[in-house]
Order: sequence, then structure tokens, then C-alpha cells
Amino acid sequence: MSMNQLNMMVGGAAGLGVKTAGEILARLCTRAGRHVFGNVEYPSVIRGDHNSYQIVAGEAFQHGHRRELDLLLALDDLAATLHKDEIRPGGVLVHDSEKGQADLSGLAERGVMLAGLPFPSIVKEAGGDKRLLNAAGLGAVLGLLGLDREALAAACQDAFARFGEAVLAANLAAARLAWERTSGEMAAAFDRRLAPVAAPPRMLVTGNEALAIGALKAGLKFYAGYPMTPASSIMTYLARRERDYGIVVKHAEDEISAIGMAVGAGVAGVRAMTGTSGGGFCLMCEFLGLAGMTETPLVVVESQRPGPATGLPTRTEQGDLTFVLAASQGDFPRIVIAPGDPAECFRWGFEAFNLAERYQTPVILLLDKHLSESTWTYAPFATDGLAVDRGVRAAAAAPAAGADLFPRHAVTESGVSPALRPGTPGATWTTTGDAHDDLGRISEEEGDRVRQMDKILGKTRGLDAGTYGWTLHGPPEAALTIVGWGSTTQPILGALADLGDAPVNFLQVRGMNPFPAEAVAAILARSPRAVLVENNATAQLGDLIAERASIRINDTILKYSGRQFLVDELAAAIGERL
Amino acid sequence: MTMDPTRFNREAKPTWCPGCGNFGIQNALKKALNALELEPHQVLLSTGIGCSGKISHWINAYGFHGLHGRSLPVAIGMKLASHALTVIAEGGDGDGYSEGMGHFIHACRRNVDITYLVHNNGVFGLTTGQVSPTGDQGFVSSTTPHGALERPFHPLALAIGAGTTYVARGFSGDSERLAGLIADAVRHPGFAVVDILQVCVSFNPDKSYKWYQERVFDLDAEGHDPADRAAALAATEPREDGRLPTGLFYRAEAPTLEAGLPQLAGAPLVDHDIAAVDVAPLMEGLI
Repeated sequence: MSMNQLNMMVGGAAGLGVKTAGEILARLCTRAGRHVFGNVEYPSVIRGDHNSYQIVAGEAFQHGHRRELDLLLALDDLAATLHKDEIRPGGVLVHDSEKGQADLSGLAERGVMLAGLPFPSIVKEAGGDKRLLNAAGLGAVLGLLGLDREALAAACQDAFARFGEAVLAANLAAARLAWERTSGEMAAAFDRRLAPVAAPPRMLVTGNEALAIGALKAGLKFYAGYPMTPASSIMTYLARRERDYGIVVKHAEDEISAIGMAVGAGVAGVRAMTGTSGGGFCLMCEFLGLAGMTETPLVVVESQRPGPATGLPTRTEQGDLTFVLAASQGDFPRIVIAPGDPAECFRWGFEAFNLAERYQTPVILLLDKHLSESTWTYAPFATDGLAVDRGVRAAAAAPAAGADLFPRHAVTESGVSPALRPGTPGATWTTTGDAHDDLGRISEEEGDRVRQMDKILGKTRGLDAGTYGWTLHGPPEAALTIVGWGSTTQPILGALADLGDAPVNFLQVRGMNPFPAEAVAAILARSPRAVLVENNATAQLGDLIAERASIRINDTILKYSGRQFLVDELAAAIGERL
Repeated sequence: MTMDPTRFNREAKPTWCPGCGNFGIQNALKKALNALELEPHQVLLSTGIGCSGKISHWINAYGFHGLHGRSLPVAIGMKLASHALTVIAEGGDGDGYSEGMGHFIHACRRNVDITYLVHNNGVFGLTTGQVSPTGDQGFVSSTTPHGALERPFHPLALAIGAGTTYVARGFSGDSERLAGLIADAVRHPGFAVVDILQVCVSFNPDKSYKWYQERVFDLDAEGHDPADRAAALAATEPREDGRLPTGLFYRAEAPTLEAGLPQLAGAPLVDHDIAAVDVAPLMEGLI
């Protein structure tokens, strides 16, 4: 393994600054020219318990995380106890040698270097308390990784300057005291380095950030939501920038109101979005159907977490696919897309609005905690070629012939009725969640019902998921085809990279509705063997493929512990099938 | 254009029962919009589900007839997206005070510049006459065959308590005065609630036009000061003589929610050019 390939973890109780330290390290790695993958694991508590931030860094793109750690920074005993066995021989454990009580027996025998530091004394000498602990830990790690005194100062400046001079000085003092203890002999005995390598500038970006930026690029003007992990960071990201980008972000009283406001904004004519997780999406279902019935453009982000009920509120799962595809009563067109990584989140965060306005119906982007909150490195996303398409708009605001209303639901060849923004002089329209006629008037006539149902259900017919709804990674023909979707995409690609030239390819399904049935069926028909990889208990994509493509895949690799597949874990499970 | 309330007529005829209080409210709304010198295209209605919610089909304005209890979130989204429009949310007591109660309280404290008209007749009409949250204790209906056990609440006491800046009550049988209240409510900068006592001839016939006419009176006649919050709350208390106060209960000056959003100071969001948004600085910020 190259000295520039690094798998490290910061662990400790909530409140100790695990995430801050992890983010600082991830950014340092990025700026040192590394590709980075960062995975944050935390329980649904504010103080105590156990948090971890794992950083995988190297010169090639990093698909996901692995079990074998090169370095563990344990900010408390629990972190050392939980993760010490993940440290590889030759790896290092940074721990508190002064007050720490964790049982570290056997580690030295396995070849793990014990970097014990007197953390309580260090933070005291730096003039502070345990709030300096993560800075001290950071200093210890940077010492081990061979950063010099100036590089350490620059890293602290970058991380802590925004909190003011006194905070910066104290954190730098703590970091330096720890750095002095690890940068000599210990560093010499450790085989990993963070020396800069030449690389183009890269973003360190989560799926939620990428999606939010894509939405802003698309002209998002209104976002309403209600806090719910793991969707919340879309709202907080947008809220911080609402004045710069001239948008309104509203924290509503509940998810029903959030989607209701977004529907209202969409009716008024702006690009609107709401976001939530499965529990909040349960509350949104009625409005989802209303958007379908009234042909209102709307983008909904559903970032899944393990259910049912409150489930595992801060963990990851792909358990809502079946639900999202069927949510709300009755039949109406919905476009459901599951992006696989931040680049796809950006692309579909943009494109979702074009689809919503082109087809005047809800578009659901299906993410999960792993994709929403993990970080990857990318060059800035290309924006050329991203064109805003607002769909069919009425040339003039005129009433329908022989009527006093603009025909909001006029039946056309495409099924899409020209849109007319409220406030346009010359005519007005009405619409309703009741069954209606072409003029939007309530109608229980059988003819109107059938005519309008045929119209709305037919209008997405022109949307061919065969063109965007899937990707076959690897060779076109292979002995084994992995089938997956969403956030398992990158771990699967990482596993395939681990397996080298093995005769295996990967069918990533992205278009959940409309579904690329023909393409999926064709690929599966020519594959001698297929296995589903899903982060849920019942292989929901397997059901969807059986329903839409009439092929049942019986072999499954499923994980539903609330954690994403590790790359090495997945490589082993796939390897067993080769 | 001649200023005439008929500008707000639609060809379609309402399906309300003959004698329904909704006709009076419909007339009052048309008169109010006319008095405000609005054009039909400048008005956007968000209505709930129930007999009342159907009014958007019978007023010449842009109309969105949505979900039971949810007219307010939709109206708030409409107003924030397109604040040059006059946005009116409208529904019934079952709609807004039962299913939609959560939205109501939050709309009260949010103070978005919209108007909320509630057709309050004490019963669910469209589902054929079950007691509503403003129906009398003891009211016998299909879901309360032994009499309703819960006490009714006073929506205006709640509205005042939750911070509403314009609180009024009208009567569907006096559409002239109701029109004045509605126009006043639309003019008010901020969230304006007009609770409208309404006759349901089919399912609450005991409270007939005559019953109301014997009881309603204008608070103004008592010298009520709508700037006096304590007096406004006191006016919501039941009276021993059973008389029902109408008119303006409470009015306060307070910044609208929109006033706290500098991004709405210029053109409405709906008029922003979105063809070439520059997100490069955002991506730069992640490097």
C-alpha cells in the first residue's frame, strides 16, 4: 500500500468534537491532493454515547470505507474499546495514556503502535479544558503523518481562525503540544504520510450539498422543510444562502405544511422543493397526490433512514423504495430517481426541476443518510450544458372557446397542458384535487374522469428511462452481474475495483419510475448470474425488477444493520460468488 | 372597465343548498374584491375541502381547491412566491379548525400578508352534518348520537392568543357588512382572519337566519376599541344573554413575515430570472 493511502478514524463521545476533527482532517487530505471519502456515524443523542468520523484518503477516487484502519484517534475509552480491533498491524492508536482506562492488551503484540498521550495535561497546559481535546488529537495525528510545524499552524489557522484569536491560540497550543510528542520517533515508525501531491482543486462534498447546489443552479426559488435527519442539511445549506441567491427557505410547522407551501409556491409559478426522510414523507403523501392531480410541478427529496417508525434516526438504509413508488392514494404520474453519488445528486438536483415543469407532476429524488451526509471529492461540477427548461407555457392568457376559464387541464397530444402563471391578465383558471374537466371544474362525469386520467397518466410516456435510468459499469458481458441502486453504487464500484479483472459487472438502476424495464431485462437476460446488493432487508429493487421486467433475482447480498456496506466486506461477499 | 362585483362572477352555478350561508359569503367576497378595485387575475384563492372550499370554482379569480384543512400552507407558499398577488385562503370550520388547526395557529404567529376566511357553521356539511370543533356541547349528530361531549372553542380567542394582527367576525346573513370586513382584512398588512358565522340550512337548521339575526350585533356599537387586546379577548367570552358580537375584534400593527425577508424587497420570486444562476462560488466554497 502506498504511504499516501490512508484509512483513519476519529472516535469519541458526542460533544467532544469528533465531527469537527474529522472534517478538518478530511479537508487537509483534500488540500494535500488526496481523493477522500468521509463517513460519519453518530447516534441520535447530543451528549455522550459514541460518534465516529472515518476518512479514507488516497491518490485515486475513494469509493467508500473499509474495516482495516491505519490510524485510530480515540478521544475517549469507548472509542478505543469499540474500534481497536480494526487497527491493522503497523497501524497506530492515539489514546489518552494519562486517565484512559480502555483495555489495550494484545494490540502491541499484533504490531499496533500505541501512541499514548497525556491529553488531560496537554489541554491544561494549553490553558483550556476538554474542548481542546480534539485539537490536541488533531495535532497528534498530524505529527504522525509527518506535517511540519508550519503546516500544523496553517491547518489550525484554517480550522479555528473563524472562532476568534483566543480560540485559535488555545487550539494551536494544544495541537502543538501533542504534535511535539508524535512528530519524532512515533512518526518515523509509522508508514503513512500526508505530504502534498500535485492534483487539481477538488471539492469535498456531500450528496445533500451537491443536490442543493444543483437545485440552485436550476433556479430553485422556494424551499420548505421540517428538520429531520438526514434531509435537514439540505435546508440548512440553502437557508444560509437564501439572501445571496434570492430564495426563500421556510422552516414549516410540520412536513404537511412544508410540502403544502412548496405546492403553493409551485402553483404560483416558481421552482419549489421540499425535503424530508421517510417519517416526514409519510405525512406528505396527501399533498403528493394533490400535486399529481392538479398537475403542479414539485420536487421532493426523500433521504431514507432505517424504519419503521423512528427506527435508527441517524443511520442509513434503502428501505423506502417500495413506499415512495406507491405513496398516496390513486393513480398519478410520478418521476422517481435515485442518484448514486454526489455528482448524480448535482445533476438530478438540477434536472428534477426541468422534469417537474416539463411534465407538471411531482419528481422524487431518493437519497439516504449515506449519500446525504458522507463526503467524496470531486472537481467542481461542470455547469455548461445545463439548460433551464420550463416546459410548455401558454402563448396568451385567453379563455377556452365558449367558456369563461383558461383551460388549465386542456387535453393535448402530449398530455401536458400549457401552463399559465397566476397573475397573468386576460383570463383566470381554476383547478382542484377533485376529479375535474379540462377547464379544472369539478366533474364526476365518467367521460371527464377517464379523459383526464388518460391524460395525466399518459403525459410521462415520452420520458424514456432507458436513456438515463441505468448505467452498466464494467464489461458489457460478465459471468456475474451485480444489481444495485442509490448509495450502494460507490461501495459496489469500490468492491469491483478491489476484485481487479474478475468477470463481474454492475448494473446501477437510477430510474425507479418510469423504469428502464427493457434495458434491465436485456442485461439480465444475457447475464449468466445476477446478485442484488441492497441496503435493506427485503431486496426492494428485486421486487421492482420482478414487477416491471418480469425477472426474479433470487441471490441477494443485503445489509440492514443501519450501516452502509464496507468496500472490503462487499468485495468479499461478491468474491464468494465468483 | 366598469367597477362592478359581477366582474368576479363565473358562469358555473354553485351546488350549495338553496339558502346556504355560502351564497352570502360569495357575494360579500365579490363585493369586497370589487371595492378593493382588484382585477380577477390579481387574486389567487387557496381553498380547503368542504362545501366552503368549493367557492374557488365560483369566483372569477385564479383558484386552487386543495386538501381538507390545508388551505393555509398552500396560501403561504403562494404569497411568498408571488407577493404582488392578493392571496386569500378560505375554508370551513371543520376544515380549518379541526383538520387544519395546527396550520392555523402557526399562520397566526407567522403574519404573512394573506387573508383567511372561515365559513363557520358548527357542522361538517359535505360529510352530512357531524359536529365540528365550534359546534355546541351536546350537539346531536351522526357521530355524536348521544350529544357532543367536547366543548366548542372560540377561534378568535385562539387567533388573538397566537398573535394574529387582524381578527374579525362577520355574519353570512349581512353580506354588506361582511364585504366591508373582508375588504378591510385584505387591506391589512399581515395575517387577517375573518371568522364568518354561517347558516347551514341542512345540518344545523336550529341556527337559522332568524336565530342569528336575533343575536348578532356589532362590537363597534358598544364602543369596542380594536387596539385593546384584553378587551378583544374579553369580547370572545360567551355572553349570558347569548348575543353574538361581530365586527373587528382586534387589530395590531406588526411587521409582516415578508418584511423580514430582504430577498422579497424587489420583484416577486416568480419574476426572478433563473436562466443563468451562478453556482461557481458555492462550489469554490467546498474546495
